[in-house]
Amino acid sequence: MYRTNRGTVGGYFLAGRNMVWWPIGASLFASNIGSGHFVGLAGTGAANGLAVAGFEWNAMFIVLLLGWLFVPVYLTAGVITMPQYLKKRFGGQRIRLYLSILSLLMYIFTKISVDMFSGAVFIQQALGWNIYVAVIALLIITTIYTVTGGLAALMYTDTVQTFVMVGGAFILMGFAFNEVGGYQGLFDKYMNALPSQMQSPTPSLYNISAFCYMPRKDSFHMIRDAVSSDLPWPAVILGLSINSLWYWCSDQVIVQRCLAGKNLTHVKAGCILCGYLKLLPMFLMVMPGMISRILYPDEIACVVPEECKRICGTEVGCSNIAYPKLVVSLMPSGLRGLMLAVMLAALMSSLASIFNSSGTLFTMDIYNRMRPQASDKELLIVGRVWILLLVGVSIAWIPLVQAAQGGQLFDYIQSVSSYLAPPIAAIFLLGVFVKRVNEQGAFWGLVGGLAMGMARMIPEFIYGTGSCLFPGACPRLICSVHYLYFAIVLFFATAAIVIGVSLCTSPIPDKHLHRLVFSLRHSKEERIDLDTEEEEEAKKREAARQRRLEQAEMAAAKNGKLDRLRQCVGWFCGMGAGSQEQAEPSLEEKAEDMRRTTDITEHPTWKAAVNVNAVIMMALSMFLWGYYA
Amino acid sequence: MNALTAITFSLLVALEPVNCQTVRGNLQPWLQGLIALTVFLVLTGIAFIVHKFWCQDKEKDPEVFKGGSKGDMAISNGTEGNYSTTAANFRCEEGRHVYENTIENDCGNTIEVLSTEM
Repeated sequence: MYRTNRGTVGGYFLAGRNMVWWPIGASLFASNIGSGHFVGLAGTGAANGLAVAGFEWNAMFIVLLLGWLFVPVYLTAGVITMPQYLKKRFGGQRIRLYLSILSLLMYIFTKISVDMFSGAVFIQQALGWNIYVAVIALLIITTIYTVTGGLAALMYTDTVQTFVMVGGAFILMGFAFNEVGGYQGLFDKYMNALPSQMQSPTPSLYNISAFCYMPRKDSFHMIRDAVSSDLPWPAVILGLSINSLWYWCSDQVIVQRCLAGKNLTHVKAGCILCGYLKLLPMFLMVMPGMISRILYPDEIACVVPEECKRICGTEVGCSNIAYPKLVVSLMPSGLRGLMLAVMLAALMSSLASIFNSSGTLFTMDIYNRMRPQASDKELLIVGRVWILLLVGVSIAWIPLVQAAQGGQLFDYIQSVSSYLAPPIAAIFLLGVFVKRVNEQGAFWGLVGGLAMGMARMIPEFIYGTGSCLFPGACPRLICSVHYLYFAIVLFFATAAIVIGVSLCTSPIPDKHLHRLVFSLRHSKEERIDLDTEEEEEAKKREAARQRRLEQAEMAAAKNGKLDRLRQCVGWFCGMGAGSQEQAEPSLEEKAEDMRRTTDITEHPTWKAAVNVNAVIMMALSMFLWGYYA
Repeated sequence: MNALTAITFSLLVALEPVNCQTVRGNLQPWLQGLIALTVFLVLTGIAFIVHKFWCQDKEKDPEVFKGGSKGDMAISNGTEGNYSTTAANFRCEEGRHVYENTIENDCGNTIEVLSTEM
């Protein structure tokens, strides 16, 4: 990591493109798993049983799609961010800008706020601190190493944090299973985990039906009824795959880690490692959540609103405190501290990844567009300032998450993703595989998809989703369809719009598409980029920067040493005077570097090895799906 | 391998529940798991064999079809944009002027998906 030059954009944002497979895999997993998973998966597991683990086990297949189908195209295209890829693929300004803004908004709604809220819930339960104090302390630590270190720091700390996370969670799982009487004990006792207070205190106002506090009959099945259950099986298979496709194959946070790989084989191996690690959440989070319900039914499975408010501060339900409660009550005090470290690790790794990737997105796609003449140094400073701004916004967002969905944290994440992500997934899937899709098709598809998503999302949030006792007032026409089914509909509708509009307008010639689509990924021909005017501006910037450097050198020679404080700040931010002393890579070296990073050829033996490994992983996954179906 | 594997991925993700829906409550869980595993491996094996078969086909046939395709090109200047699904399925070289959406796997076989005239 010391070798990575944090002073260059490639070194800061892409870890110098030198990562081997195990930091990639660990970082993918650590970026994905946040405290939102611990709190949300365990909470939904406590309330609804095993099916929520399908969210994790579905990802095992999608992460393979990432490594085999999407990353070769992204690598050979030579891009850093996803909007940049879209810009090269489709041309024009609007898609890239639109996607950058939408992605940043989605980060705030679905990732940052959720992770912070669940981290806060955990700390509040475990330590009794005020939420805001705890979160601010966390954010300060996270910000420090995000701002200074860039992606290389993140990926290595991710690896360490993954070990801490998995280790601590294993220990808690051991304690939990021990307490409940083993694996079979869980399955025997779960159906009897009822709260003691089941009667409504004011029957004249409302009655509590048994449905609201009894565990579901299909609690131990992952494949559930297609119409009447909370997670119908076609929705989990197809709808969730669409959301996962957005998250794993087109989202900046995840793809950035793969792009930092040494070569394609390492990326594929990293994806397989991440897939294996994704087996764990069922046993580490969902089952302990169910155990928590068995051990503390009065608190976790509370149903009377006044009781719930007293226990966890919200009337909808207290299943979200399942995992923190387990940690606080079950573990001896030394290990309790370890688990707190696990939670902090999970929270910080996710947040740091998101901050870093948002910084990349904002700097390269939005700021660069507004001020094309910005120097590299300015871009790096702006990236870091933006991260600090995000921290402020995230803190302000906490009360909104707390108030909005109350006891349904995982539902909140998934539903917001289902309303906003499918158009993006459709664009990327079609963009990579179908050459005929052009800019107009993609843009109108995105706009149409957003309109449909908003048409569902805004009424649902205004009326509220309510709870089992007091269902929300959203009209049946809009809200009765399960959000994952809605994702399927939205995906295919967007795809139809995209293909329809593309067929009515002129196609993009092949000369602009070499190494940007799957079918042309091995093509060796010259590509005329659709963003040529930006390339020319970049060249002008480069020339201006050279002149500025020379002037600065002459000025520095006149003034003698730089101011001490500025030297310190410069070193902290990785932009010390030393970086100016490093030789600017020559044109040949740059071209050679470009050739190396966009190379997607693989050694045939290793290629076969990762393919076999992928089949093994899928086979194991199929066995487990069948086992718990 | 890549193209067929991709198709297999998507097929399998959709096919998961087929073996589970009909046998709930009757089969042991490990048996359900074993059935799912076996089905998956069988499908993967079939995909692999089909892929190998097509690759071998490419090695044997180019001489035969090259003659045929050259003949076609001489005659069919006016029919460039037509959907040519016959010899093209086994042809390994593509005319540069025909814009098609193709899925290329490692041995260069092209499966014609869509053919549009530019």
